[in-house]
Amino acid sequence: MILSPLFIFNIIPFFLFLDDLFSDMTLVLKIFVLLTIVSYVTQHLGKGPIALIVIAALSWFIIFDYFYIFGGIYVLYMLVMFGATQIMMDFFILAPQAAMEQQMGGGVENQPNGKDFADRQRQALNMRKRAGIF
Amino acid sequence: MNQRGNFILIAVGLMIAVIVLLPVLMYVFPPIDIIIKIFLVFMIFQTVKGFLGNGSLTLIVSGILIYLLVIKWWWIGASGWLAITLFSMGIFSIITWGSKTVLDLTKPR
Repeated sequence: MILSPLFIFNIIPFFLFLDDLFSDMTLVLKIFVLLTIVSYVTQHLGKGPIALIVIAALSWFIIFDYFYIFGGIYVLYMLVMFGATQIMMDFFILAPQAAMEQQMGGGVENQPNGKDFADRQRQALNMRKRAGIF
Repeated sequence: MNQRGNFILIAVGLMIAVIVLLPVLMYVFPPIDIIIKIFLVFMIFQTVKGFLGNGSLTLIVSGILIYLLVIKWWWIGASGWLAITLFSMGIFSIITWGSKTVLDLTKPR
């Protein structure tokens, strides 16, 4: 079934589409990394020849030589900049609460509250009255 | 631990659903498609101009990015833009909080 020609001819375009997407998005990511490098260096060194040399050196190392490291770092940096850590903090705070409420059987509103306590006290008082304690 | 996983999966699923909604709307309603694409073009040009200033290099880099993110992979460009906007506005925190407090999909019925 998996190796049947129909399956293969249907699945190959899907993988080709993914391959195309991956290469294009890598190019977009490299352009953004290059923009960040250019912006950072020109902010510190201006637009002179030294800045151009530093831009070329940094670009060579970051974009061409070690992009498999710096690409991931750049994506992480962007996620942190846009506030992904806030989402993680929300998860860390709310997820234990959700788990605890589920273990308690349906949240705070299903737990004994003041009204239940008052009902129990009233029942106990009635029982005591019937038993002749009061 | 399993309940935590359920909650996180539900919250992430809601976030993805919100992000995917924009490309779906763009596909269904062409006016939205045009408006969002114009908006994306302006935003990409503005971003590149912020990095490189005025010049021909800005036009070239903007052109490449506009071709890739607005014309070829428009659905990734649109959903990425929406994700970044919602991230920076903190809307995802509201979705996370709402999926726990308002919807409470993890609660046993």
